[in-house]
Amino acid sequence: MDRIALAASMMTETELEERFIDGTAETIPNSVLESAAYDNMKLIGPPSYTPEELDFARALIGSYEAAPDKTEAQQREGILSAEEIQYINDMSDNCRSPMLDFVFPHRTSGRCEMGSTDVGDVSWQTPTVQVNTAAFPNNCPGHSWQNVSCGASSIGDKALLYAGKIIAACAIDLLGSPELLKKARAEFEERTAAGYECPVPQDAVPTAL
Amino acid sequence: MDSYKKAACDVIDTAAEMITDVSHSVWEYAELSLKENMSAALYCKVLRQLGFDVEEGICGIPTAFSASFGSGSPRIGILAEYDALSGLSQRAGTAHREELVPGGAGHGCGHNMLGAGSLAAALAVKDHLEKTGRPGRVIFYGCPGEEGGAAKAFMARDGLWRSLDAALTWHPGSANCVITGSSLACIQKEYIFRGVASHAASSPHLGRSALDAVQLMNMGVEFLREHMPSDCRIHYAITDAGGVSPNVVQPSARVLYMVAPRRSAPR
Repeated sequence: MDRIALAASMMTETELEERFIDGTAETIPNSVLESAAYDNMKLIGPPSYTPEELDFARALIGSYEAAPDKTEAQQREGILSAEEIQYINDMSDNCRSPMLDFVFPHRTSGRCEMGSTDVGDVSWQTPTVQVNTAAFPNNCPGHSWQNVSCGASSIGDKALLYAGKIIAACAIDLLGSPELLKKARAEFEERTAAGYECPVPQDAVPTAL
Repeated sequence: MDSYKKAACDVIDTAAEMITDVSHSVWEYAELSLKENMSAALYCKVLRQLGFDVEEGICGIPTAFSASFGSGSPRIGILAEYDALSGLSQRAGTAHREELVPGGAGHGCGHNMLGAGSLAAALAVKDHLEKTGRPGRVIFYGCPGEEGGAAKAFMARDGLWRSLDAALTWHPGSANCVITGSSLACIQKEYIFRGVASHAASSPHLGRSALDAVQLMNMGVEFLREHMPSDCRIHYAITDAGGVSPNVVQPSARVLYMVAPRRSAPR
């Protein structure tokens, strides 16, 4: 890329300046922490919704200009077993429910998903886990106005309180169990044996675009 | 459920209004990456009031902060984000497109909820440490610029996360699930070309077009695409096309590239 830019500047007799903006590393999964998070997710149990909230979710789904082309069940093919995929379909009217109000089966995977996040860089330096809770209607498009609309609604409020409880319960598990921390650390050491190459150069300064 | 976890859930339920108020305020601020001044200030204020030890501007990033409670180890980090996306201003609770602020930003990735959910967790863990007297520290990290700026990667460059025994976080989605798998590594870089302006009709030979340079670079990258592994991604935006006058040779132009290379086989 840099050489293409240099060549373009030579062809046009212009000056070239390169500016690093940001960089993120790939995410390292941790099955020990994922299992703890999954258990707590089941233990606390997801929120349920009022008829008004479900109507709102249906209306938002009806307004999607470009919804993802795969259902939440289809996205997990190759990771979950056929029975687990079937469970998701059974629980969600074949992924047609307005809100996916149950806990999805879980298996750790190393499969690379499209998209990037700077949580990846954290996961190279310490055992890290992330959960999703249903803050948006089924099959919501990412980065959409529908998500903005839902994010300050009672559906969003329920999702964030549920997430807070799951994270708190995981932290309580870790604070009370050196053994759990040790297992998570051992897996982390193994998965990060290749070593972290920070994508951010030493002299780079965070830049707002 | 054991009594500790039950107590943690009760703490969050009791503080639910305060926590969701924070989510709604950050939703209204809708500040873009690395410009989250009001959002970060609100979190710092609330966390101080709750008895956390707050350090602002960590790792040289003005809107990054940490808020810790407890002592000794283990050290459990809880990550928060609070940046919005441009062009997504939208009235809440409506199912049709209606901007709240014309051309304004909006929380299209739900980071208003992300930070507030993490706040709920930090509050409950602090209560747990206080009541049990267990050793350990909970540290809430305010991480700006997830959508652009990647503050956590800059914080990683400074080795910040190595001090933790574990990091916990979440993201709003459309399902209740544990996230697994890997994500793409990604680098954003801006290429800025500077040429010479001139009258495009009377003295084109005196000008040097920066816009031409951007076009040639983009074309070169188009040819590169054929020779990349299929799971790599290259995205671009022309952030400065040199102006709106075709009759002036464009003296400056910028193109922003986002490159997701494949670093190694999936683990």
